[in-house]
Amino acid sequence: MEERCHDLINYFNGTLSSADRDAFEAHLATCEECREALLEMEELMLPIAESLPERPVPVGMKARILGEVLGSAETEPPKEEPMTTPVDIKQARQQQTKKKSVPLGWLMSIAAALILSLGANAYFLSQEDSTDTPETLAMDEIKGMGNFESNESIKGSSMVFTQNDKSYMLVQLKDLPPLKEGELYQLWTIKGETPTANGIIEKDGEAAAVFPLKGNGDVDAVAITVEPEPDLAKPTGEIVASVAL
Amino acid sequence: MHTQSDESLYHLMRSGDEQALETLYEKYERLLFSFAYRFTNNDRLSEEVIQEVWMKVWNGRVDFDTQKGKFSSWILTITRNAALDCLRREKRQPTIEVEERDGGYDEPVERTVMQRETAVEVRDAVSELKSEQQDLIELVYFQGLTQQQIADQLDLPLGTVKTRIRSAIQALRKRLDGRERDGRTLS
Repeated sequence: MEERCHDLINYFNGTLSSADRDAFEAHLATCEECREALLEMEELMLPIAESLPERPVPVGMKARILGEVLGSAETEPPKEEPMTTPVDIKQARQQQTKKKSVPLGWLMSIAAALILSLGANAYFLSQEDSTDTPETLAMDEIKGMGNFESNESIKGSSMVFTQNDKSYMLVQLKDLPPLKEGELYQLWTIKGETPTANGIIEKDGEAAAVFPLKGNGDVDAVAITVEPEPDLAKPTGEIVASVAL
Repeated sequence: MHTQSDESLYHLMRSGDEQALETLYEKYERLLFSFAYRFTNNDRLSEEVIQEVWMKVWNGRVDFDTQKGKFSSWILTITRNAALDCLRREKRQPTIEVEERDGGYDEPVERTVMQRETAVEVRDAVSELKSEQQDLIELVYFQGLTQQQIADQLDLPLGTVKTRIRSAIQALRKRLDGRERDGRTLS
């Protein structure tokens, strides 16, 4: 066994300096035993990963990650600082807000699609007072947006924005499964761990709506459940779709 | 529409196809998250790891060579490296952290029968290894220790570590192959 062979584990575990890594890669080209051993270690990775207990994926992770990845510039340096907030949602939203002047990839196209679609087909629903809905969609500030994730067929997007110091939530949904008699889709805004009933949709198929936000308009996520009656204190049905903003 | 292979999706993605990225992401989301979580024991760090992985893949900072193996092994290797880097950054060893996030997860989707069987079989196969071999698998795959650290921890000569690791891996491989060949019965 050559001296360099001892670096196999360190190479596999990424603990070599870049000079030693280059040297080991040169060694790999000539040492069949190390090549085979490395391949064996890599090939076992899949069965080992599949054997692990499944950890549920946090709500909205896909939207956050793809939003960041597709919004990332080609030249963006690797992120050095770990996030420090207990939940990523807030920081992710701040990052998105900061980046408003640069193309945001799919998030911007969602917003454009939403606005266009609402221009053509919008219907406005208000929980409290029909005069409380904005007459136009002149947004002062977009506070967050994203695609719904759903284990059902539901697709759609949501955006929270402010206009004249009031906060609104715009949602556009399609492929909402048929409801049973007396059921409705309840929208919940979630801040921290607390859901607040904030809007209902009493139809299946497609829907687009703007709801004035209750409270101060500070929202981490939007979730949809199927409920027997509107505006319950807490959700009773399972979440059929959700989005982190 | 037929299902595209990971390899062709990867090439589409590298040419800038966002749908191909999303398809690959969805396919591997649960596997990579559970894998990253095994290292970090923390949802937030695991999500950071997964984001870093796809950021690197999308921006071409890592490159998959179809000649050198399967996409699944490669993406797991990238995830593992990112998770080990994350742990080194955090300067801490894996610990169990209880998180209070009631209702904060996507609804779990039932694993397929095949995935459950694989999980049980690999766990069984690992548990049938000698105790030192089980330790080696843990230290190599999940602790990311250097060869010297492994030698120190298991009180083995440095030169012996690689040979022992290889025989542990081959013993595990043999048990898995045996199970595939003989059904549930271990030869």
